[in-house]
Amino acid sequence: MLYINQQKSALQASTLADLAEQLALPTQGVALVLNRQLLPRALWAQTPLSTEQDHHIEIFQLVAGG
Amino acid sequence: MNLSDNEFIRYSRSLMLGDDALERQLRLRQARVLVLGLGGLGCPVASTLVSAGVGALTLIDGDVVELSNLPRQQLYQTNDVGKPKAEVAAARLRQHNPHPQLQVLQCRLNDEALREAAEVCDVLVDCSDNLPTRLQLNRLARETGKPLFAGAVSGASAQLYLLNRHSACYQCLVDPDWQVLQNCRSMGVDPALVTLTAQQLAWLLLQYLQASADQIAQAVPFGQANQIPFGQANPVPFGHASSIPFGHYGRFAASGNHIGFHWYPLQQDPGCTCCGVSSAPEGEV
Repeated sequence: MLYINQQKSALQASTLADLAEQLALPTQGVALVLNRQLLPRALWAQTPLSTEQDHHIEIFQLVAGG
Repeated sequence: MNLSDNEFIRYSRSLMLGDDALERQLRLRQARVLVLGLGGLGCPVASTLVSAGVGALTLIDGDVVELSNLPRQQLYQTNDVGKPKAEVAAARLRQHNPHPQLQVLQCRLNDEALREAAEVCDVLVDCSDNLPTRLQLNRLARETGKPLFAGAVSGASAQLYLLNRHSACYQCLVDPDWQVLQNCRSMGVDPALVTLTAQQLAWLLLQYLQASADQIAQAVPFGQANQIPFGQANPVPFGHASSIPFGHYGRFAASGNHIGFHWYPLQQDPGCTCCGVSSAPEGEV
């Protein structure tokens, strides 16, 4: 089962990049946490989302102000 | 090396915090910290470090005080509007505590000048309000090997990242071409949240600056320290229940029964042009 920001999701994606595309995430300024690991965008395409286990995903907007 | 009588009285409440409190206070007096940005984050960070007794601060900001800064930038007063931030901040901090040495750089620095300032500091603190400056300080932290403590806020979002030469870097996470739309000018900012974020950063800085090299080396890795049941004595010296969360990105959240920062380990991008394999000089991979 996939959980996105604590909500169950019916989406099925083979990789994080696939998921990001289905969610139409912006191409910049977004952080994606998979099972408590913050993964750079460069790793999304090579990070599989196996269906054999639960995946907890958190998505949030990065900010840069001060 | 010891504290003067005046310092003993000034820092007496801190000196009650554990058997090694004097050593910790003396370590803090030996420390030099670079704070880049003296806005909503930089004002409380600098205030807390100076109040607590840091040895020296390098204060960098090229801006002048604006009226809209005042709700959250408490080093400035209404009649400071239009004056240079770094100079006003330093004057206020000196009034509060005359002991720390304060170096003031009232300008935006090029790489060479910023590197020169960074090299003599123990820690670099990013309290800036824009991406190019964050990327610049991240790059210089990597080049000089200095730890980077950073805060970022906008709207109702608050984030922290603590990085060192062994961890991923900020550029692993952000695209250098990111057109940041989420800044305080466009999104506003919650004054209490920015202060809370700055004080979380200051607390982490004090933990780090006051720890001995042995304490840092022997601390339980962040995220692996056992929870200490309420009412039981802390089994490790004050302030060292776990290590500093280097290599982690913190995000403020208020939900369920939790209010505070969630910390996530940041994975390195092996292709990062700042810290990844592709950035290493030939023969050093």
